[in-house]
Amino acid sequence: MRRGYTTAKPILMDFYADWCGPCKLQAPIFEELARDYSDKAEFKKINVDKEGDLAIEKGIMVVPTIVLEKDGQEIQRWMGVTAKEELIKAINMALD
Amino acid sequence: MRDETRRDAGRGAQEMVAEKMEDYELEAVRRINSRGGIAPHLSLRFGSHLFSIDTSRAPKGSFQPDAYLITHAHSDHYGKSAMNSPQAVASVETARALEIRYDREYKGRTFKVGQSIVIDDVEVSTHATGHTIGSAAFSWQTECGERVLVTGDVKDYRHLPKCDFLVTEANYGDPYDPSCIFEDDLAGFSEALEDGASFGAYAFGKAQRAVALMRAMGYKDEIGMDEKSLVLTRELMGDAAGPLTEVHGGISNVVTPWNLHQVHCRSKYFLTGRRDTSYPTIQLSDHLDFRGLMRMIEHVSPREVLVYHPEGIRASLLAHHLQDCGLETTSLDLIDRFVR
Repeated sequence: MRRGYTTAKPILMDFYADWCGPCKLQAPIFEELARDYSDKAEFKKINVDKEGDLAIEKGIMVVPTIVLEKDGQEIQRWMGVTAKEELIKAINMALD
Repeated sequence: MRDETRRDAGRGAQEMVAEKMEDYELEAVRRINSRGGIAPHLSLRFGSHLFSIDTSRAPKGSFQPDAYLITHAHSDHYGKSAMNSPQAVASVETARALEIRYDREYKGRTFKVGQSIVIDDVEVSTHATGHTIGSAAFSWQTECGERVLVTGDVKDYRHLPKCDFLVTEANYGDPYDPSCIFEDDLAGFSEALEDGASFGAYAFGKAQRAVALMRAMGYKDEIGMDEKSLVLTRELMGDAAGPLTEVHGGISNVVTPWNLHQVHCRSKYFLTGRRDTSYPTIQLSDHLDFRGLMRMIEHVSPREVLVYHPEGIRASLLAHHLQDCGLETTSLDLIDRFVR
């Protein structure tokens, strides 16, 4: 990642908007994951209406979109509400 | 080629280019920022002058360049920071776009694209690049008569002059990536427009390209836009934008991609080169593809090249390719001279 969140851990970014219904479904899943996996990965919530530059930089087209990066490289992205299990699987693969 | 070999080859080329630059009393340097990291992008030192290129502003109290040249108002060219300096130099449209995007006053100097501007006794020419409204390349001669050209991002290279030393971009400069070869799908865009489609396009750059194309294709009705896109397009395009209004169904809309699902319209498209999207896409790029970059370099016929943008691997991949083509080239990551 070019700006802001460079880290050795995998980083999960949840791009959301306040007006977005599905984002409200995604939020508790993401927050639970952030609580359970805080020692293994970084978690960031990014409001596309407030951090438009970062959303553009990451090529965000829809909300919610979750982007998983490690060492500044995108590993995977999910568009739409995504299950906790799927995100856990991807985090574990990024840690391997 | 293995990574180390590539890096060694890159170092060799970098040294050659550095020697040439010294011959011309021209030196590329980078700045160390207050956190000890490397500030984007670079500065060119020649004679007693220092011009920073698409670079964030040095902190107060630090050594300041004669100019912060801002090629356009996209965030990865750091005008958001440089616009706060009286040494900022940007086109009228770029300065206004920065003000709208970041809701603050632009404090530097402005020019009309195509005109020259004198910076610390150096006459700097400006050239349209067609990447965004107001995007500009800069060129000047050093005291030794070497012609320097800094392109920024380029869509249309026809207005760029010949040069000796080229500082350019590689957004689609990866010779091994098939996605770096593309054609704009103007026929697809025209067909979708006739079908009454709405389009997802980022508010600065792509949105104005879409509106200009819609007007060029004869669309005379109102175009619906979301708030930021509307303000930017009205201000930057003026009458050329034609009638614009707020988003509503029954007309064609151009909105920020993540707002597209809120538009009531039977067909919707993202204007992007990405493939992993939730709506169909129409390829409409603000950039040259790899072939276009090579044609641009041939057009400006430099003796040496420095690929300075974007961050990441593409700049060095294009640099290696140009070296293989026999052109002395280096990339931003190999610059090893720093200032604080």
